[in-house]
Amino acid sequence: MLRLTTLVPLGAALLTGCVGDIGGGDPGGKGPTTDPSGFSCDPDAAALTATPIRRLARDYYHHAVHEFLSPLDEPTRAALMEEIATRLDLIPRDVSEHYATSDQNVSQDHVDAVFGVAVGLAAEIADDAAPYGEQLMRVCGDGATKAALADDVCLTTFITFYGRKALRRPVTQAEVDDFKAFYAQAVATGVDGLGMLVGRFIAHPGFYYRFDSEGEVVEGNEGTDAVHALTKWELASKITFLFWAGPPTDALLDRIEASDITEDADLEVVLAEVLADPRAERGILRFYREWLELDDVAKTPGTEGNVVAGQAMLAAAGVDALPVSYREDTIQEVLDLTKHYTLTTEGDFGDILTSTYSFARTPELAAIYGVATWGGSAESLVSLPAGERSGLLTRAAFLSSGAEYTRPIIKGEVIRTRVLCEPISPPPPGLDIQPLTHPADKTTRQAVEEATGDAACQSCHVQMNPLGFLSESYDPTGRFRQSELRFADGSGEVVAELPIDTRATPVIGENDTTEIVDAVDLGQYIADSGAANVCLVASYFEFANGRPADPVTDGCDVLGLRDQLTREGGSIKRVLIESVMQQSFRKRLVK
Amino acid sequence: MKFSRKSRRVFLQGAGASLLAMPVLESLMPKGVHAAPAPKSFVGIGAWNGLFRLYGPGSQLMPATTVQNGSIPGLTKVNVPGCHPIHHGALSGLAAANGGRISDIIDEEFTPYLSKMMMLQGFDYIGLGWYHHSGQFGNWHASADGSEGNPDMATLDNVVADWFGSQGYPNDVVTYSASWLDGDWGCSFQADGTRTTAQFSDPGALWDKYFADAQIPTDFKTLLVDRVLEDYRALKQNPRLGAEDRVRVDNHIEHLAATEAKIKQIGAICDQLRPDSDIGDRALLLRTMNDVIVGLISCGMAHSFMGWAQALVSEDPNQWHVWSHAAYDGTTDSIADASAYESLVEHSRSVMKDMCLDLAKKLDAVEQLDNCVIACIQEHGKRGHESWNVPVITFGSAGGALKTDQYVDYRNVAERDDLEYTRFGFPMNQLYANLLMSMDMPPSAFEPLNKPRADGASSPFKPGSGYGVNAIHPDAAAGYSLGGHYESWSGYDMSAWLPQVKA
Repeated sequence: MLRLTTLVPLGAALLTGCVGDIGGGDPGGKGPTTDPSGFSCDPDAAALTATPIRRLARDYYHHAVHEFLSPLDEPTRAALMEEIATRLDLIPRDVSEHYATSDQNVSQDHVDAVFGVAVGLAAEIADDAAPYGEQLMRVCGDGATKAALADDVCLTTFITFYGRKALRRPVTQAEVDDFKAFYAQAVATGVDGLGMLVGRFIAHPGFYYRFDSEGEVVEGNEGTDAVHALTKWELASKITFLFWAGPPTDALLDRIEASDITEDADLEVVLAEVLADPRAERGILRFYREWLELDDVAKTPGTEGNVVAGQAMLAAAGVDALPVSYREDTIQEVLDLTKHYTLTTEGDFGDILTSTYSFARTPELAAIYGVATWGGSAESLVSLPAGERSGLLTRAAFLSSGAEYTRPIIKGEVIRTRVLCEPISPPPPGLDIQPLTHPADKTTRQAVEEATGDAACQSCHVQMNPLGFLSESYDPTGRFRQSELRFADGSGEVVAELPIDTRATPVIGENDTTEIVDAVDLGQYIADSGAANVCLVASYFEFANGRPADPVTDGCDVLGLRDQLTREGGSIKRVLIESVMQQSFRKRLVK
Repeated sequence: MKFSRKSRRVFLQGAGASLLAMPVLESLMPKGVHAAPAPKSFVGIGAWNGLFRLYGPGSQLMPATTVQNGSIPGLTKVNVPGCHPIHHGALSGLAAANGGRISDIIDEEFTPYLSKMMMLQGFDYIGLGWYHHSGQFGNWHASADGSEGNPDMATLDNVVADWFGSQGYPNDVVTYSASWLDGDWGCSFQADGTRTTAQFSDPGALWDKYFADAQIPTDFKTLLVDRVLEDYRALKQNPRLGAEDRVRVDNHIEHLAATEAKIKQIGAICDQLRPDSDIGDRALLLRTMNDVIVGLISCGMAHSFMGWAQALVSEDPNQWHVWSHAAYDGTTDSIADASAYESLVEHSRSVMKDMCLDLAKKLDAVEQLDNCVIACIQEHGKRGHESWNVPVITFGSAGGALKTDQYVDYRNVAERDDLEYTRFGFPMNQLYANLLMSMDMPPSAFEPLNKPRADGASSPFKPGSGYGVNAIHPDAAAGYSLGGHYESWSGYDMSAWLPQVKA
């Protein structure tokens, strides 16, 4: 996903952190409540926000095509996906401030590309020399060929089966008849009927868009201001696209057929199954990846500036060379960390901020941490060196600069804007921003303090610099250090070794003047303050709904989600479940 | 009727393979498509930063020139009524007088094509102040942190594409780069400020978009698209759709109808060799991309392109920017960091050779260059983030509209020195207008697209003329005297042809 560079305040208010638990929405009791985060819960002001039909995000579309082809043998499916890979790549990348699903633009290129996928797929399936059509025909029985579609029973079976997959609900009799007529038309005009059926399913509006308006109108008037309760099929799709980044499987559709997930009891059971499915990593870890902007933040050490010095630092950690995958490995470590406390255990955000475990799967990253590699099992976690490193903010993905110097300003900006959801204004126009210089007798912190010491700079930099200084106990590769090395230009020769100072006042919450020691302290400090809890749930709300949360109309929902973190037995998993259980998830306002 | 569709693998060819392009066959043209002449083609190529010896005595890009007593020896001085004198000379002559080359970067490899080139020095982005990024092709809103104060405007590639569409020609825009790392795609925008979504950093993907379906019978594609269109149109009968839903459905239908039209267009019959998709060398990637672009132009499938490459000779697209600030001191014309300077020059050389010249050569080989214009526009002058005195290099005469084989120096050389104070020239708006006019787009078609600044800043030029925001940025007017330079240009028509440009 491409990230835009402008900063957008979250909702209409600056979030200044939240201390304490005021409780979520209480429609029957206490009336409006306002939280220090800026969100307020007034049951009378809570309201759905009208949203138009939504198209599938690029990746979600890929997964939907892949799932449609599930009856194929895995190698055959992989081969067919490869045949249409470049057509799938032609779908424009989603471009949004934070979350790919927020991009709802449908341009000519989108339409050309998705039609191209449909026609390409149809052509491959129509090709008699390829096995694809034959395997798709298995729904009519082993050994069935496309000729079997001439039989009405087989044709009905085929349309019913693949129609349900494509539209994510049972097809109506009218639709069955319509697709039969289309098949007949294709055959009569000498065009491959099987290919046409598949092409039409993949190009169907019900495949590319989610309408979520086929359910009962529970409020308002149809077509003008109707509130639709989602049908069980629509709800199933909404849940799987959220948690799996893909459509319901056949097995889940069968499950939905036999239950009524519009009722809480059935819904909770199915939700638990969905979250327990390995596919849940896809959607949920996508949230963390986009929320924390890991693709923008993570850098490969030793690739910029004085690369010789970078290589020297890596060598000091026992790393001779980094694999091409290293940057992705550091991102994966953060995702494994978040996965452990979200899905594997029922942790909360404080656990993520303070975890003393390494999730480094590769020897290079493990060497940076000074630990053994992690095998991927929750039963054999690897402890980080005590006191050196703990929690999300001390992971290499956030620390590595790529060059021979750290980048405290950027480290601090990421924490302030993404973990605490506090926006920072862009630099004023006309400001001549020069690259930072690093004299041999000054640490990076000292250089930054000097360059940003003017009052005009400090109004913004006070929000960033201290948060970045706290992690100056890690070198530009992310390795723990006791001093900062200075290198000769273009070489790995150390010309100075300078003492580092990590003490800083992070300013978490209004009027906070507390000085803390380092990044390990910072994780605990933020966890104890609860300041990031609303940020996490509000960010998740935006991810799940494709729009920022409104502090008033969505306040009860957001604070209700926050309560799932902070209450006794609360956890991130409870947040995920609650996000679906809330009525706002299960309805759609159409205007 | 069954068909046996050849796998595209049959046509896989190694990187850099020669292109086999089929010419357009008039007898196969569908109704409604213009038979002749073929539309012209526009290629915009953005060059970045520019903080090296771009012009002047030690120039490594433009012809090396000196200024003596308000004139440039070796060039012809022409008085321009209402403006300052300009200077010009034949590129072929300038090369002959310089050992057969124009400059370090525009070397002997360019010399055979000088007769089809223009090298123009001295354009001012009047609507940009100090410290801007990108904006080479007309959207002066999306520059620096977006606070220039200009409204969004479509870049030239989109204006040209829309114009072609209005004339019944294919209206696709293709933007391309060397790497997906050039993620900002900072050159191509639509009128509402949204980025063009057709983005390619893989020549194989570009090929697939236009040529992959060539093997699929038209009746197959037509039957499917017609039925899918019906499915979307049937949605409009659904009473449960809200107003916003209907807007989205209508939008999709409109685009799908265009998809249907393209399926039936002549380009579908063109056959091309598919280039490799896995090209690690970015210079080779860009040259391979040029192969596909030539195919698209030759087959009449697309006529508006925008290219740029930041991550070209380094992995990090921001390295280009770092080199620029570290390498050269425009005030003293000295090199501050030789290594960074060398890298910057090499990057610029690659842009000129691998993107511009290579494309020009290949178009010329299939006799298409004369019907095109390739415009390579620098982001900055040689002194930091300045918005004025920017060089532009073009290839092709746009069907004979442009007077090629010349260097034109639009600087007012009677004032300033290009060291402490950059010389000013002619407004970029006028160059944009000339490029659009070279595509046969009249001023009456592009002038209505202009938008004013919200702060009311203006210029002395004829209102509404040229293409772009017709206002001098307040910073540039007050702080840098750009406004003073243009004070005497009262009523100047920026939709007129620049001196020496029109053939």
